[in-house]
Amino acid sequence: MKKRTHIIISILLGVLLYLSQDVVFAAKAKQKEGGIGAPHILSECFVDAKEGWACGLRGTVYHTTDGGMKWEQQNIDTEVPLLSIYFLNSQVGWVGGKTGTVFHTVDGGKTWKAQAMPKKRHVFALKALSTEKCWAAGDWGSIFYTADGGNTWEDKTLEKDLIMYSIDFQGEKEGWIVGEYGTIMHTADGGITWTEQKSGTENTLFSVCFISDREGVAVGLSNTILRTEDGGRTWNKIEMNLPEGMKDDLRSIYSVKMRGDKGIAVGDRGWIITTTDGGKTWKITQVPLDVSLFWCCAVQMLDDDRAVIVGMRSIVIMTEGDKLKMMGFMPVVSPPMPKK
Amino acid sequence: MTEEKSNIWQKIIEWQLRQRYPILAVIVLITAFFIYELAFKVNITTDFFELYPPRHPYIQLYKQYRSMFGTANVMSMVLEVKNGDIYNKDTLKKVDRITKDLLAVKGVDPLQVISLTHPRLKNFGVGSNAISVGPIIKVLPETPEELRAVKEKVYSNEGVRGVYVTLNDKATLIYAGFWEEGLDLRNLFKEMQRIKKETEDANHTLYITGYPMLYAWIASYTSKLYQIFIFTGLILLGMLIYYFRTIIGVIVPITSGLISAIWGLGFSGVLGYNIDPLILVIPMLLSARAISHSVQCLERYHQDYAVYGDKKKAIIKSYTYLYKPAVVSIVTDGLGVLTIVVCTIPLMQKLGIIGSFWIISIYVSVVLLNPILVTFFPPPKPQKNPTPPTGQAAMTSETRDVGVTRSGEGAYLVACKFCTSFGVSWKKWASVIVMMVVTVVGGILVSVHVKVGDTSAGRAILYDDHAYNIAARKVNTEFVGSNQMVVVAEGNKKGAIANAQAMKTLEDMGVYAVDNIPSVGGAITISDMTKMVFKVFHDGYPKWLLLPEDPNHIEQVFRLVGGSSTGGEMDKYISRDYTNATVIIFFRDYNNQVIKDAISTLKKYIAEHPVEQVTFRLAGGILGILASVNEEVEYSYWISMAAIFILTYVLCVMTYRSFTAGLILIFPLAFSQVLCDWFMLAMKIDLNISSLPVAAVGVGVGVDYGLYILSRLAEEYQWQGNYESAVFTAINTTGKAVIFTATSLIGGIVLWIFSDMKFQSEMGMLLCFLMFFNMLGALILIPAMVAVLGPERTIRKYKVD
Repeated sequence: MKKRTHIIISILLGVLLYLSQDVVFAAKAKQKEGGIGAPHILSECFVDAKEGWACGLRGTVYHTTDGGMKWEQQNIDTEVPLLSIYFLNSQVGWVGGKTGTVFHTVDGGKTWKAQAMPKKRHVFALKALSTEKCWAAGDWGSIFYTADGGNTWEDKTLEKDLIMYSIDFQGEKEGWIVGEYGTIMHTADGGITWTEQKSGTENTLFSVCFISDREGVAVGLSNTILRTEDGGRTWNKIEMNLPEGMKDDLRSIYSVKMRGDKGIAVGDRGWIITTTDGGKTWKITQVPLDVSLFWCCAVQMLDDDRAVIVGMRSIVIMTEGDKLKMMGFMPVVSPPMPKK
Repeated sequence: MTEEKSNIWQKIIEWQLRQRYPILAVIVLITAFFIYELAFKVNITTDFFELYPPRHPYIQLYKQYRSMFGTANVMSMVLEVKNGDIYNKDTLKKVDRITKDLLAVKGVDPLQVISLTHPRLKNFGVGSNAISVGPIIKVLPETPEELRAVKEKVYSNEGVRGVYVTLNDKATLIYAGFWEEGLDLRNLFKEMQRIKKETEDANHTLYITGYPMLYAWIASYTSKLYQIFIFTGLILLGMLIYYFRTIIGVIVPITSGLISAIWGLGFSGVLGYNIDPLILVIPMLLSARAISHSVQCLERYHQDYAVYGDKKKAIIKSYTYLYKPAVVSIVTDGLGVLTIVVCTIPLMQKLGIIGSFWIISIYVSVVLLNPILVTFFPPPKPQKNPTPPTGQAAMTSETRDVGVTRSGEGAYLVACKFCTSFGVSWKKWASVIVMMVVTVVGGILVSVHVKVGDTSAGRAILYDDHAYNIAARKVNTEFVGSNQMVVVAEGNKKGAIANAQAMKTLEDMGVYAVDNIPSVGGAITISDMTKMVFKVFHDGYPKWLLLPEDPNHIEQVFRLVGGSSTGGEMDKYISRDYTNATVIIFFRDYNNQVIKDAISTLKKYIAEHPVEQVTFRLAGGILGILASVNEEVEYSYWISMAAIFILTYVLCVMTYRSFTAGLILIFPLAFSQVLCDWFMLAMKIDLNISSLPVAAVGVGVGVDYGLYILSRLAEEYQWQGNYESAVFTAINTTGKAVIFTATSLIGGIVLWIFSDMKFQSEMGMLLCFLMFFNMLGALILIPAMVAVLGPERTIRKYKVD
């Protein structure tokens, strides 16, 4: 009897959901999740296909253990906007925020401890190389480094006043940091010296990702996509084949992730593009109208196909290849898809 | 009883009758003057400033910043589509049309008209190489691409979605602020009805709510109010005809009521006062009291004429007896109503002054005029079975038979018979004990539960299913809320707001309000805009939705925002020299408790987060105004209640020359007041600026009834020497007139229950209830109290002249 009721309810719900696919999105937005006051999520990091963290405005840190379906808010003693998060494994991670805010955890985020930075800079990017070593970058050309798990952070700030937005390393020696006005800084000696690479663009770069010490992709303002096959000695601009009407309405790309030849990049106004050839060509993922009203700030790949995207008003989007699979708002993402 | 003293009242009456022509001439002249004032100077309308207590800190704050931050009287309109969303040519065109129409309405503050199509709604965007701040809609969109672009702008700008457009894109909000001074409510009502009619079609519905609209609705009901008052008057007239069946029994009370009304209303014209439509209930009640005094006097005249058979003697006798209770009750009520002036709300003060003048004018229209009028009419026809006569005549036992004197009296005498038993048998104890218990226990319960301003203004005045309240629900459920409270951040020098700490506190206070005050739907500060612009400064990167730290950066942002808006647009968020700023908090729903809690929550936050150079001041916006009004109303209600009770006690003690006699009147009064408060609680009638004066003036009805009964009791007791028969006589004579006036007034006022305005309907119920219980109090509790306390101690020393 009970089982039958369940089945009937499920069928009814299914029919309702099918009939009101348009409404599903709206109804969700009406809840506190995704509505006014829902914090923007600005950064995320997955250590495997299941476990990941995300952070955002108003000192929010979320944790998932099912690949981004359900998120649980973690306790962290701050209201400060959190701008970047990086986990080395399921235990050790850092989160960085406004004006030199950095917290560190060694228990998967159950407890967070504040760390002192040499200067009060916004920490826009974090990249840990081991449990001891971690890089951080931010505004005013700030680059910080720790070799002791964050007890002390060294100041390696650049001379130029440029905002640095993203860091990636291949091994402990080869590293890249990208930022304002197409700046790409490179190190081949583990950060002792940083030299500028020629990006060939004035457009600000928001994200960089390398798949080997030779091949990498950087993305930024006005649909800028740069690609290198020689560790950054030469960067080539990738021109996307944009449909009519989009050519003079370029969107910014805020985050890129690569995994072998496959990759995904996300940005302004629901902009989601994917590549299957190491970034030479990109394909636009079709998103429902409503999704295109939200900006996507960060993307992570769970495996070769699946990716989790976070952004405006705590939106969470899941993709598989070049298809949108699920969407919703923190803390729960559910399968029914809104219509195109 | 000395002979000399006993003649004072009689001498006055005799003098009045001798000088009847001069007195009449003076009254006619003054009445003519007041008619002139009434016709040309009295304006029945709402003046918003009259509702604000001027010395209250919230009102001072409001007045100080009103020109900068705008008026608190904001109207909200929701345009909703049935099919599709609002991003279509037709709907946006309608929004544009409404916006333009609103700008032309008299009294509007053009800076506070804002809608999706108004250029004031800004889009912060990155151009190819520059930052652009421009209207969300420059020209009305035509093509699907343009419509699409509008939608994108709505979504990408903070403070647009949820505030001006619902999350489901089916409705959009239009605001219009109105200055208190320039508002013409009738014109506003007409204009809004026209706009509504022109806008609505199969796919569009327009909802209108907000304070100016509420008062526009009230103004639109004013003519219906007159109709109901006229019907009430007609019913009273009918009852008088039925009861007295003599010309004088009809004409004299009606003349008294009319003259009182003319004097009272005319007096307000002399003082140059407006009369608020919601307060109109009170004049109606006051005139009803004039009629009720007049009926008492006539009743007595009819009785005395039956005994003496001589017109002049009957006039002198009856009015001599009535002079004292009439004057005492007029003075008590007059002074009691005057105590309303302790309230610093101008509307209440004026009501106190007019009300007390009105009551004092009853002296002229009844005590002075009635005996004179009566001389012009033929005496009532001789009666076969006179009612129990008074004074010496009552001492003979054969006159104790109570017969039906006029056929209209039958029903009333049945009621009298029912009441008589309570003053004498074991029932006197039961009555007194029940009254004491109800008064004390009920009083405690009521004082705990009765709250001033328990519902929002709209729901207190209009029915829940009224278009206004439907619109209010629409605004409050689908948008951040239509009721604003404003916190002003006051800097002590130029540029005080342009520092990181001040900016952060502004932002955090808004977030804190949203998180910690349940009814808050959202908050807007200059910080929100600053973050948006700061993000745009940094290539539009979302991680830059941060507040700048450097004062130079902050000022840079302010300049950009200020420079891209036309004069005054940003004033409601920040002053032009960056000295002052605001936190605007939107409430979905409110009552007095919500406002009080919100204010204390905010006060706590402000105390815990001090900012250098900046002082935070509460509370602007409509909710700040309501908070100040409620505070004033609450305290003045208790003061004027206390004053009425104390006055009644003191005057009773003086009149009856007994300290215990004072208690006799006070307890039944308290009893019916407690029952009334209970009734208001049970019926969920809101205690507010409009209903409290009604309750305060209503108490006086009890004073009238009580004084007449008590005086008659004293008189009869002293003549007859037997308390039981004194009760019998008093109830069957004066008591009968009390029952008649109370039931007639109830009969007239019952009509109000069917009013289109919930407020009037509830006030009708309240007054009916109040009069009924005051009648019972006078007829049952007063004889019982006298019996229990002992007639010797209480009414022996009353001077029967």
